[in-house]
Amino acid sequence: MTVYKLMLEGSSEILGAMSIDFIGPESRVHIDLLATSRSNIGLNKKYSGIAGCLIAYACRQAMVRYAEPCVSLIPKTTLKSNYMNEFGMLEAGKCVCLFEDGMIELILKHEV
Amino acid sequence: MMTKKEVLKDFSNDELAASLVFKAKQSKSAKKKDAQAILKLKKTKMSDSTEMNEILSALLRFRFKIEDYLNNVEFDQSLTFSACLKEYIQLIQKKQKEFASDINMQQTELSQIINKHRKPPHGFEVRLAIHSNGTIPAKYWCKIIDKENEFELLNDPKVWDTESKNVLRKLTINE
Repeated sequence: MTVYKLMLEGSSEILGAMSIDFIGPESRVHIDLLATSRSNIGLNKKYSGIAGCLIAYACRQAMVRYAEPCVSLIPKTTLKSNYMNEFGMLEAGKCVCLFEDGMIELILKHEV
Repeated sequence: MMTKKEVLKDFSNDELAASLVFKAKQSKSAKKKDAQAILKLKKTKMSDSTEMNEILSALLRFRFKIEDYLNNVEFDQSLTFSACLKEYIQLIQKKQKEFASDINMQQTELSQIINKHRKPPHGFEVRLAIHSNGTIPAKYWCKIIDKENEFELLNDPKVWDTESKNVLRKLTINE
C-alpha cells in the first residue's frame, strides 16, 4: 500500500490523501481509500477537484508502470453512478474503473 | 473529525463521490470476480483504441519520463536533448523528413541537431511545444538542454583548466 497526500505548494495544509495498491499481475492501480479535507467538501468548499487530482495522479502512476494500465476503486453501491459521472469511470463487477482513454482525459483535465 | 455516518448524512451523493472513496472490504472470491470483469472490459476497450489515442498515450508516458528525470538530480546520457527529440519523432510515428516539414525546417538541419552537429535554433523549444500541442511543454525542452549543458560544462576538464588560468587572484577563505 502506498499513500500520497496533496498539499498546496508552500503550505503544510493537507488538502487530501489517497492510499493505493499496485496490482502488478493485472496492470492495475487500486484506490483503496481517498479523503478530501473537511473544508473542501460540499457547497462551501475552498478548492474543488482535489479527489480528481488524486485520482489523476493514480492514473499517472499506472501509466508509468504498466503498458495496459487500469485504475479501479470499489464504490459504495449508492455512489457507483456518481463516480461514473464525475470521473468517467466504467462499471466492472463491484468496481468502477478507468482505462487508458479515460485516464488520459483525467490527467489532462487536472494537469497532473 | 466527522464519523462516516455524519459524512453520509451531511453531503449529497455527488458531493461524496467528488471528494471521497470509502474503504471497502472484499472476500478473495469477490476480488477474483472483479479482476475477471475488469480484464474482460479492458479487452473490449483495447480493441476500440484508435491510433491517435495510442500516440497520445505514448507521448504522455514520454512526458512523465521527462518529468521524473527533471526532478532527479542525476544526468542521464539517454535523455539528452537530441535523444529526446529523436524519441519524440519516433513516438509520433513520423519520418524525420515529414517532421522537418511539419516544423518548417530543412531535413539536413534537423538531422544535424539530432546528431549533435548543430545547436537548436533560438526558440526551437517553443516550436516543439507548439507541435506537440502542449503535451511536452517548452520549459521541459529548455530544462533538458540546461541539464545537459550543466553536466557537459562541469565535467569538461579543458574548461576547468582554461578558466583556472583566467583567474589571476582568487578569494582565500579560511575554514
